[in-house]
Amino acid sequence: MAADGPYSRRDGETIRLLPSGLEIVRRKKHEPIDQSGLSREEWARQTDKRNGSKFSEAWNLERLVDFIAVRVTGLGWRKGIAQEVTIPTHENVGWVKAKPVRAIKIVSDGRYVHAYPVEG
Amino acid sequence: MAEAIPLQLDPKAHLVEPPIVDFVYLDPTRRAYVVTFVPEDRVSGAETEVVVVPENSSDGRRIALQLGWLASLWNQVAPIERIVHSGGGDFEFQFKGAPSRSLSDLCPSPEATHDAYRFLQDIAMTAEVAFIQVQRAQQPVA
Repeated sequence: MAADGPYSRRDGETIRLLPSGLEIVRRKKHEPIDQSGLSREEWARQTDKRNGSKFSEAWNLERLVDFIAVRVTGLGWRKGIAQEVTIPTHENVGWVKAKPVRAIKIVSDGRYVHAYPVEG
Repeated sequence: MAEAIPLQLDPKAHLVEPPIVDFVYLDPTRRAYVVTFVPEDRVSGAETEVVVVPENSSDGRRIALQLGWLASLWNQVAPIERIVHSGGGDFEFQFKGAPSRSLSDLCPSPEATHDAYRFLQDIAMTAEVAFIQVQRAQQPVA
């Protein structure tokens, strides 16, 4: 992993600045975690809204940031306007309360943008 | 004399309950605090909601006060630039011009940790009440 790669960023730091001025930030609480050895109850707790829904391992930061950048640019999102969109997919992208889900919610607070798995 | 029980800082522990600060910062362009928070289920089923609190409103001044108190827990002169919820009971504090601090890694004492949760809870509650007020104001009058 390159020293300046997305995983070198601390939680909440900007990974990519978009031409619109919006900034995609790292959010560790939605990154994949090892579920081996966890009971279903514990896994549900680890993926609830206190701890954050979790992406599957296929959704590493590079892929996620590219996905967000393409969508946000395509939608014409601008700075200063809070917006959100839920995008259905054809694959399991992660888990919410231990349930596999196939949709990604992208959220902008008007400056910073991040995404997480949601029920479609 | 009772013995102090060290607070468990394991991110897996249920230390915080919604509303929880998810991401907060002062946006100089909008002259407002932008607070993303994890709402209580009775307020919203969404994982997070966003509310914009003008810096010079009473709520904005309250948030500024809490942020100042939080910074003082680390004896920081530098103001807090962002607070980020890392999941569970852990938070990342980013200071302007100073190294970031994680509550789980670097909190100075159990008492300070307790205070940090209290200040964070206050910010989250302020944001949630402001969010409810915005929602009510947007509802059509019958």
